[in-house]
Amino acid sequence: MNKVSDIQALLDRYWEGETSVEEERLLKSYFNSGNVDEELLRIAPLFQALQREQSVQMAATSKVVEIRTHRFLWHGWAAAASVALMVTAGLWWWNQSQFPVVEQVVQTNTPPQEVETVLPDVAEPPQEAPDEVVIAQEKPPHKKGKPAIHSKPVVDPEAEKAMEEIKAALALVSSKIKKGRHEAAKGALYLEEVDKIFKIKPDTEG
Amino acid sequence: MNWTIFQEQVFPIRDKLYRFALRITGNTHEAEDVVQEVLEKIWRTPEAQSEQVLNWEAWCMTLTRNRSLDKARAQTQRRTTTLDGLGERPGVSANPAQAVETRDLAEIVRRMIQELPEKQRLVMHLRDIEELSYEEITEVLNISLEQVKVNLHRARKAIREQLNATVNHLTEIS
Repeated sequence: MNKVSDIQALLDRYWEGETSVEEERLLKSYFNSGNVDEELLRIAPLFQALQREQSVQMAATSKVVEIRTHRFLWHGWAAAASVALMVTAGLWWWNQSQFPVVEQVVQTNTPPQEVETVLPDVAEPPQEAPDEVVIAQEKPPHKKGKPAIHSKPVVDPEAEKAMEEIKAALALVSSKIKKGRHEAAKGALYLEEVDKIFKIKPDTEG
Repeated sequence: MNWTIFQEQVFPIRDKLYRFALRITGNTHEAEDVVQEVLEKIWRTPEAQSEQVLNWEAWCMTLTRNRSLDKARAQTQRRTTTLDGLGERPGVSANPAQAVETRDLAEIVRRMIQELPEKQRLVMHLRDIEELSYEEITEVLNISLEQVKVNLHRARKAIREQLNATVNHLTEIS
Protein backbone atom coordinates (compact mmCIF):
# COMPACT_ATOMS: atom_id res chain seq x y z
CA MET A 1 0.00 0.00 0.00
CA ASN A 2 1.39 3.39 -1.02
CA LYS A 3 0.78 5.71 1.87
CA VAL A 4 1.57 8.89 -0.07
CA SER A 5 -0.93 8.05 -2.75
CA ASP A 6 -3.53 7.20 -0.12
CA ILE A 7 -3.01 10.54 1.54
CA GLN A 8 -3.07 12.28 -1.83
CA ALA A 9 -6.38 10.58 -2.64
CA LEU A 10 -7.79 11.65 0.71
CA LEU A 11 -6.54 15.19 0.09
CA ASP A 12 -8.29 15.35 -3.28
CA ARG A 13 -11.55 14.35 -1.62
CA TYR A 14 -10.89 16.82 1.21
CA TRP A 15 -10.68 19.76 -1.22
CA GLU A 16 -13.99 18.68 -2.70
CA GLY A 17 -15.64 18.44 0.70
CA GLU A 18 -16.21 14.70 0.40
CA THR A 19 -14.24 13.40 3.38
CA SER A 20 -15.76 12.23 6.64
CA VAL A 21 -14.71 13.60 10.05
CA GLU A 22 -12.69 10.39 10.64
CA GLU A 23 -10.81 10.79 7.35
CA GLU A 24 -10.09 14.42 8.15
CA ARG A 25 -8.70 13.34 11.53
CA LEU A 26 -6.44 10.93 9.70
CA LEU A 27 -5.13 13.78 7.53
CA LYS A 28 -4.48 15.96 10.60
CA SER A 29 -2.68 13.08 12.26
CA TYR A 30 -0.49 12.43 9.22
CA PHE A 31 0.49 16.06 8.62
CA ASN A 32 1.30 16.58 12.30
CA SER A 33 3.32 13.36 12.62
CA GLY A 34 6.63 14.98 11.67
CA ASN A 35 7.08 12.35 8.98
CA VAL A 36 5.46 14.01 5.97
CA ASP A 37 6.50 13.10 2.44
CA GLU A 38 8.35 15.93 0.66
CA GLU A 39 5.78 15.90 -2.11
CA LEU A 40 3.04 16.79 0.34
CA LEU A 41 5.08 19.04 2.59
CA ARG A 42 3.74 22.32 1.25
CA ILE A 43 0.19 21.55 2.40
CA ALA A 44 1.25 20.48 5.92
CA PRO A 45 0.90 24.00 7.46
CA LEU A 46 -2.86 23.88 6.88
CA PHE A 47 -3.36 20.78 9.02
CA GLN A 48 -0.80 21.97 11.54
CA ALA A 49 -2.80 25.19 11.91
CA LEU A 50 -6.05 23.26 12.33
CA GLN A 51 -4.55 21.06 15.04
CA ARG A 52 -3.03 24.07 16.79
CA GLU A 53 -6.41 25.82 16.76
CA GLN A 54 -8.06 22.74 18.25
CA SER A 55 -5.85 23.02 21.31
CA VAL A 56 -6.80 26.63 22.10
CA GLN A 57 -8.37 26.77 25.55
CA MET A 58 -10.17 29.37 27.53
CA ALA A 59 -7.66 30.83 29.97
CA ALA A 60 -8.42 31.51 33.64
CA THR A 61 -12.06 30.57 33.37
CA SER A 62 -12.47 30.11 37.09
CA LYS A 63 -11.11 33.62 37.65
CA VAL A 64 -13.96 35.06 35.62
CA VAL A 65 -16.40 33.25 37.85
CA GLU A 66 -14.61 34.27 41.05
CA ILE A 67 -14.55 37.94 40.12
CA ARG A 68 -18.29 37.95 39.67
CA THR A 69 -18.75 36.06 42.91
CA HIS A 70 -16.75 38.57 44.90
CA ARG A 71 -18.58 41.45 43.34
CA PHE A 72 -21.95 39.91 44.26
CA LEU A 73 -20.94 39.22 47.89
CA TRP A 74 -19.32 42.62 48.29
CA HIS A 75 -22.54 44.38 47.35
CA GLY A 76 -24.59 42.22 49.69
CA TRP A 77 -22.34 42.72 52.70
CA ALA A 78 -21.89 46.41 51.96
CA ALA A 79 -25.65 46.93 51.99
CA ALA A 80 -26.05 44.98 55.24
CA ALA A 81 -23.14 46.86 56.84
CA SER A 82 -24.50 50.27 55.90
CA VAL A 83 -27.94 49.43 57.30
CA ALA A 84 -26.34 48.16 60.52
CA LEU A 85 -24.22 51.32 60.75
CA MET A 86 -27.23 53.57 60.32
CA VAL A 87 -29.21 51.70 62.97
CA THR A 88 -26.28 51.77 65.39
CA ALA A 89 -25.78 55.49 64.81
CA GLY A 90 -29.49 56.09 65.34
CA LEU A 91 -29.47 54.16 68.61
CA TRP A 92 -26.40 56.02 69.86
CA TRP A 93 -27.91 59.36 69.00
CA TRP A 94 -31.18 58.45 70.67
CA ASN A 95 -29.40 57.29 73.83
CA GLN A 96 -27.30 60.45 73.95
CA SER A 97 -30.32 62.68 73.63
CA GLN A 98 -32.46 60.77 76.14
CA PHE A 99 -30.22 59.96 79.12
CA PRO A 100 -29.22 63.52 80.18
CA VAL A 101 -32.88 64.52 80.42
CA VAL A 102 -33.72 61.55 82.61
CA GLU A 103 -30.70 62.19 84.79
CA GLN A 104 -31.69 65.82 85.28
CA VAL A 105 -35.20 64.86 86.28
CA VAL A 106 -33.91 62.25 88.70
CA GLN A 107 -31.49 64.65 90.30
CA THR A 108 -34.16 67.25 90.92
CA ASN A 109 -36.52 64.57 92.05
CA THR A 110 -37.22 64.82 95.75
CA PRO A 111 -39.85 63.32 98.07
CA PRO A 112 -43.30 64.85 97.59
CA GLN A 113 -43.45 66.48 100.98
CA GLU A 114 -40.22 68.36 100.38
CA VAL A 115 -41.46 69.61 97.06
CA GLU A 116 -44.64 70.76 98.68
CA THR A 117 -42.76 72.70 101.31
CA VAL A 118 -40.41 74.22 98.81
CA LEU A 119 -43.01 75.24 96.33
CA PRO A 120 -44.44 78.29 98.15
CA ASP A 121 -40.94 79.72 98.70
CA VAL A 122 -39.86 79.48 95.10
CA ALA A 123 -40.76 82.47 93.06
CA GLU A 124 -41.15 80.64 89.86
CA PRO A 125 -43.88 81.05 87.31
CA PRO A 126 -46.87 79.00 88.40
CA GLN A 127 -47.08 77.18 85.07
CA GLU A 128 -43.71 75.46 85.61
CA ALA A 129 -44.33 74.20 89.12
CA PRO A 130 -47.13 71.72 88.34
CA ASP A 131 -44.91 69.94 85.81
CA GLU A 132 -42.25 69.38 88.39
CA VAL A 133 -44.77 68.17 90.91
CA VAL A 134 -46.31 65.77 88.47
CA ILE A 135 -42.94 64.31 87.58
CA ALA A 136 -42.07 63.97 91.23
CA GLN A 137 -45.33 62.26 92.04
CA GLU A 138 -44.78 59.64 89.35
CA LYS A 139 -41.65 58.52 91.10
CA PRO A 140 -41.86 55.94 93.92
CA PRO A 141 -40.98 57.14 97.41
CA HIS A 142 -37.28 57.08 98.34
CA LYS A 143 -35.43 56.81 101.55
CA LYS A 144 -35.02 60.20 103.12
CA GLY A 145 -31.64 61.91 102.78
CA LYS A 146 -30.30 59.74 99.94
CA PRO A 147 -30.01 60.89 96.35
CA ALA A 148 -32.55 59.23 94.11
CA ILE A 149 -30.07 57.84 91.61
CA HIS A 150 -31.44 54.27 91.77
CA SER A 151 -34.98 55.25 91.17
CA LYS A 152 -36.98 53.70 88.32
CA PRO A 153 -36.36 55.70 85.10
CA VAL A 154 -39.06 58.00 83.96
CA VAL A 155 -41.00 56.39 81.12
CA ASP A 156 -41.73 58.92 78.48
CA PRO A 157 -44.52 57.68 76.17
CA GLU A 158 -42.78 59.16 73.14
CA ALA A 159 -39.51 57.48 74.05
CA GLU A 160 -41.32 54.20 74.55
CA LYS A 161 -42.91 54.57 71.13
CA ALA A 162 -39.52 55.37 69.58
CA MET A 163 -38.02 52.32 71.27
CA GLU A 164 -40.79 50.12 69.88
CA GLU A 165 -40.17 51.49 66.41
CA ILE A 166 -36.44 50.86 66.70
CA LYS A 167 -37.09 47.32 67.93
CA ALA A 168 -39.33 46.72 64.94
CA ALA A 169 -36.69 48.16 62.60
CA LEU A 170 -34.00 45.98 64.15
CA ALA A 171 -36.21 42.93 63.81
CA LEU A 172 -36.72 43.77 60.15
CA VAL A 173 -32.98 44.28 59.60
CA SER A 174 -32.28 41.02 61.42
CA SER A 175 -34.70 39.10 59.23
CA LYS A 176 -33.18 40.64 56.07
CA ILE A 177 -29.65 39.78 57.18
CA LYS A 178 -30.73 36.20 57.97
CA LYS A 179 -32.35 35.93 54.55
CA GLY A 180 -29.28 37.47 52.89
CA ARG A 181 -26.95 35.07 54.68
CA HIS A 182 -29.11 32.16 53.64
CA GLU A 183 -29.07 33.28 49.98
CA ALA A 184 -25.33 33.97 50.13
CA ALA A 185 -24.72 30.50 51.56
CA LYS A 186 -26.76 28.96 48.77
CA GLY A 187 -24.91 31.02 46.17
CA ALA A 188 -21.54 30.19 47.67
CA LEU A 189 -22.38 26.48 47.59
CA TYR A 190 -23.36 26.66 43.93
CA LEU A 191 -20.31 28.72 43.00
CA GLU A 192 -18.02 26.30 44.80
CA GLU A 193 -19.46 23.52 42.64
CA VAL A 194 -19.07 25.66 39.52
CA ASP A 195 -15.50 26.47 40.48
CA LYS A 196 -14.74 22.77 40.93
CA ILE A 197 -16.15 21.98 37.53
CA PHE A 198 -14.20 24.77 35.86
CA LYS A 199 -11.02 23.41 37.33
CA ILE A 200 -11.70 19.88 36.05
CA LYS A 201 -9.88 19.15 32.83
CA PRO A 202 -12.25 16.88 30.96
CA ASP A 203 -10.68 13.75 29.50
CA THR A 204 -13.26 13.41 26.80
CA GLU A 205 -12.45 16.69 25.16
CA GLY A 206 -10.69 16.75 21.85
CA MET B 1 -31.66 23.53 34.47
CA ASN B 2 -30.57 20.06 35.45
CA TRP B 3 -27.18 20.13 37.19
CA THR B 4 -26.09 16.75 35.82
CA ILE B 5 -26.78 17.75 32.22
CA PHE B 6 -25.01 21.05 32.81
CA GLN B 7 -21.99 19.26 34.23
CA GLU B 8 -21.83 16.49 31.64
CA GLN B 9 -22.99 18.18 28.45
CA VAL B 10 -22.23 21.87 28.77
CA PHE B 11 -19.02 22.31 30.79
CA PRO B 12 -16.92 19.87 28.74
CA ILE B 13 -17.51 21.94 25.59
CA ARG B 14 -16.68 25.33 27.10
CA ASP B 15 -13.39 25.51 25.17
CA LYS B 16 -15.25 24.83 21.94
CA LEU B 17 -17.62 27.67 22.77
CA TYR B 18 -14.65 29.90 23.55
CA ARG B 19 -12.87 29.09 20.25
CA PHE B 20 -16.05 29.71 18.29
CA ALA B 21 -16.64 33.03 20.08
CA LEU B 22 -12.99 33.94 19.46
CA ARG B 23 -13.36 33.12 15.76
CA ILE B 24 -16.29 35.53 15.49
CA THR B 25 -15.20 38.37 17.77
CA GLY B 26 -11.45 38.08 17.18
CA ASN B 27 -10.90 39.23 20.77
CA THR B 28 -10.01 37.00 23.73
CA HIS B 29 -11.74 39.18 26.36
CA GLU B 30 -14.92 39.45 24.33
CA ALA B 31 -14.84 35.69 23.73
CA GLU B 32 -14.45 34.98 27.48
CA ASP B 33 -17.38 37.29 28.21
CA VAL B 34 -19.49 35.52 25.60
CA VAL B 35 -18.81 32.09 27.14
CA GLN B 36 -19.56 33.40 30.63
CA GLU B 37 -22.86 34.90 29.48
CA VAL B 38 -23.85 31.82 27.49
CA LEU B 39 -23.13 29.51 30.45
CA GLU B 40 -25.17 31.74 32.76
CA LYS B 41 -28.01 31.82 30.26
CA ILE B 42 -28.01 28.04 29.88
CA TRP B 43 -27.93 27.60 33.67
CA ARG B 44 -31.00 29.81 34.02
CA THR B 45 -32.93 28.03 31.28
CA PRO B 46 -36.24 26.74 32.64
CA GLU B 47 -36.39 22.96 33.08
CA ALA B 48 -39.28 22.61 30.64
CA GLN B 49 -37.31 24.36 27.89
CA SER B 50 -34.05 22.52 28.48
CA GLU B 51 -35.86 19.16 28.31
CA GLN B 52 -36.64 19.90 24.65
CA VAL B 53 -32.98 20.26 23.68
CA LEU B 54 -31.86 17.25 21.64
CA ASN B 55 -28.32 18.27 20.75
CA TRP B 56 -26.69 20.26 23.55
CA GLU B 57 -23.52 21.01 21.65
CA ALA B 58 -25.37 22.44 18.66
CA TRP B 59 -27.65 24.46 20.92
CA CYS B 60 -24.75 25.88 22.95
CA MET B 61 -22.89 26.73 19.75
CA THR B 62 -25.97 28.50 18.40
CA LEU B 63 -26.26 30.62 21.56
CA THR B 64 -22.54 31.36 21.32
CA ARG B 65 -22.86 32.41 17.69
CA ASN B 66 -25.75 34.78 18.43
CA ARG B 67 -24.07 36.38 21.42
CA SER B 68 -20.72 36.65 19.61
CA LEU B 69 -22.30 38.31 16.58
CA ASP B 70 -23.99 40.84 18.87
CA LYS B 71 -20.65 41.60 20.50
CA ALA B 72 -18.82 41.78 17.18
CA ARG B 73 -21.39 44.21 15.78
CA ALA B 74 -21.25 46.38 18.90
CA GLN B 75 -17.47 46.29 18.71
CA THR B 76 -17.49 47.38 15.07
CA GLN B 77 -19.93 50.17 15.90
CA ARG B 78 -17.75 51.34 18.80
CA ARG B 79 -14.69 51.39 16.59
CA THR B 80 -16.58 53.31 13.90
CA THR B 81 -18.01 55.89 16.27
CA THR B 82 -15.06 56.39 18.59
CA LEU B 83 -12.08 55.92 16.32
CA ASP B 84 -13.66 56.55 12.95
CA GLY B 85 -12.20 53.32 11.62
CA LEU B 86 -8.63 54.35 12.29
CA GLY B 87 -8.07 52.31 15.44
CA GLU B 88 -6.20 49.08 15.67
CA ARG B 89 -8.15 45.86 15.41
CA PRO B 90 -8.18 44.10 18.75
CA GLY B 91 -7.41 40.40 18.77
CA VAL B 92 -5.60 40.44 15.43
CA SER B 93 -1.89 39.98 15.90
CA ALA B 94 0.11 42.86 14.58
CA ASN B 95 2.91 41.52 12.47
CA PRO B 96 2.22 39.10 9.57
CA ALA B 97 5.64 39.87 8.07
CA GLN B 98 7.27 38.46 11.19
CA ALA B 99 5.39 35.18 10.71
CA VAL B 100 6.69 34.99 7.15
CA GLU B 101 10.23 35.73 8.30
CA THR B 102 10.12 33.02 10.93
CA ARG B 103 8.46 30.66 8.44
CA ASP B 104 5.60 30.03 10.86
CA LEU B 105 3.32 28.96 8.07
CA ALA B 106 0.72 27.51 10.43
CA GLU B 107 0.32 31.00 11.93
CA ILE B 108 -0.05 32.44 8.42
CA VAL B 109 -2.78 29.86 7.69
CA ARG B 110 -4.56 30.86 10.91
CA ARG B 111 -4.63 34.45 9.67
CA MET B 112 -5.85 33.33 6.26
CA ILE B 113 -8.78 31.52 7.88
CA GLN B 114 -9.56 34.59 10.00
CA GLU B 115 -9.62 36.75 6.86
CA LEU B 116 -12.14 34.56 5.02
CA PRO B 117 -15.69 35.87 4.44
CA GLU B 118 -17.85 35.27 7.55
CA LYS B 119 -19.84 32.26 6.33
CA GLN B 120 -16.82 30.48 4.87
CA ARG B 121 -14.81 31.21 8.02
CA LEU B 122 -17.49 29.89 10.37
CA VAL B 123 -18.29 26.80 8.29
CA MET B 124 -14.60 25.91 8.03
CA HIS B 125 -14.11 26.50 11.76
CA LEU B 126 -17.06 24.30 12.74
CA ARG B 127 -16.01 21.49 10.40
CA ASP B 128 -12.21 21.50 10.37
CA ILE B 129 -11.55 22.61 13.93
CA GLU B 130 -14.63 21.57 15.92
CA GLU B 131 -15.42 18.54 13.74
CA LEU B 132 -19.17 19.06 13.62
CA SER B 133 -21.28 17.12 11.13
CA TYR B 134 -22.80 19.02 8.19
CA GLU B 135 -26.23 18.68 9.80
CA GLU B 136 -25.00 20.21 13.04
CA ILE B 137 -23.45 23.09 11.10
CA THR B 138 -26.77 23.78 9.36
CA GLU B 139 -28.39 23.97 12.80
CA VAL B 140 -25.76 26.22 14.39
CA LEU B 141 -25.47 28.65 11.49
CA ASN B 142 -29.10 28.35 10.40
CA ILE B 143 -28.20 27.78 6.75
CA SER B 144 -29.02 24.99 4.29
CA LEU B 145 -26.94 21.87 3.76
CA GLU B 146 -26.10 23.10 0.27
CA GLN B 147 -24.79 26.37 1.65
CA VAL B 148 -22.65 24.48 4.14
CA LYS B 149 -21.05 22.41 1.36
CA VAL B 150 -20.53 25.38 -0.96
CA ASN B 151 -18.99 27.57 1.74
CA LEU B 152 -16.74 24.79 2.99
CA HIS B 153 -15.53 24.03 -0.54
CA ARG B 154 -14.80 27.71 -1.23
CA ALA B 155 -13.04 28.19 2.08
CA ARG B 156 -10.73 25.20 1.61
CA LYS B 157 -10.02 26.19 -1.98
CA ALA B 158 -9.15 29.75 -0.96
CA ILE B 159 -6.80 28.60 1.79
CA ARG B 160 -5.15 26.07 -0.53
CA GLU B 161 -4.50 28.73 -3.20
CA GLN B 162 -3.20 31.29 -0.71
CA LEU B 163 -0.97 28.74 0.97
CA ASN B 164 0.45 27.64 -2.41
CA ALA B 165 1.14 31.25 -3.33
CA THR B 166 2.85 31.92 0.00
CA VAL B 167 5.02 28.80 -0.25
CA ASN B 168 5.95 29.69 -3.84
CA HIS B 169 6.86 33.21 -2.73
CA LEU B 170 9.01 31.93 0.14
CA THR B 171 10.72 29.46 -2.20
CA GLU B 172 11.54 32.26 -4.66
CA ILE B 173 13.05 34.61 -2.09
CA SER B 174 15.10 31.96 -0.32
